[in-house]
Amino acid sequence: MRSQRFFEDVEVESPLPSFTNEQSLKAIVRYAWGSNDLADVHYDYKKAIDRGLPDVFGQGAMTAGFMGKSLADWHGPNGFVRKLSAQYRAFTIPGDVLTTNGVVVRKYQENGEDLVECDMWVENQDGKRVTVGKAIVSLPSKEG
Amino acid sequence: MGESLITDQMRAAIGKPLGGTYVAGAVDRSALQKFATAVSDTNPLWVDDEYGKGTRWGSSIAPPTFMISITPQSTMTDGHSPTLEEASLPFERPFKLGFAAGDEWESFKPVRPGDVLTVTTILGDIWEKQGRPGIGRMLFVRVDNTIRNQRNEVVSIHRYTQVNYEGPTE
Repeated sequence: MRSQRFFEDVEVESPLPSFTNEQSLKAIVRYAWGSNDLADVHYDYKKAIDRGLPDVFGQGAMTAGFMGKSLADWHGPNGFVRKLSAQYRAFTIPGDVLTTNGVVVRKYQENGEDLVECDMWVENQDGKRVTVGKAIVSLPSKEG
Repeated sequence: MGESLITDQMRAAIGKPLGGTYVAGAVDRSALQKFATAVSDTNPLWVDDEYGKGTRWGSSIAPPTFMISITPQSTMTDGHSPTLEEASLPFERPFKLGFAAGDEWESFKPVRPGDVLTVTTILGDIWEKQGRPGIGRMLFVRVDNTIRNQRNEVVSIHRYTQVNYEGPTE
């Protein structure tokens, strides 16, 4: 069993673990396959060029999926992502190296739930934030 | 910036249903496995029921952004982009180019393998902005998908925003 994080142990301003993926064309096609997103600008080079793009581009939602992974890795088996919002700010292309990051910005209780708010972002190899997001995670309490 | 891109017809559609109830069907384990693989997520909670039994959920559950894979905007896409045409928008959008601007997942209950999901969609909002040169004028359309399980419980709301943009203007 993966380790569990409890509400009492969370400190505001503490980081979530970051991780890095190389975004290959294969990874982009794999996300198209896994998410049922067959929009062709993610794998059809000629169509991407026709649209004035430099290359096929990665799905924004894949970067949001990385945020979901980061959050669940952090919150442990009994936590739950109540809300995740993501804005896709820049195109990503094959060969980009994407790093997912997060930081706790607030902890609070609402309607009997112990909640933590996190700022999330995914940056490319130049440090540009290609996706920015906010998450609200529900955590168990040691008091049960 | 000239006249608004938002027509009376668009304004009238905000808050109204888009299409009928979409039957996404039963969540199968291989779909969960595929989705987790697609986001490089090796967490056993998404795929391993034995592991899930040791958690408060009592089974494996769907990963946080999985719902995007079962909405009518995703599964009805058959190879062209932008993808919202097939979501029964009751108006023409001004430009041909588009891409995803953002997503929001709000989750109320876990989704488990075998859950049978249906989706109802409304046009959530429409707004416009001026983009940088090369992008030009932009029209944002947000659709809100409410996802229910076989007990008619709302498990999740997935909000998808697509931008439709002018592109280079010489």
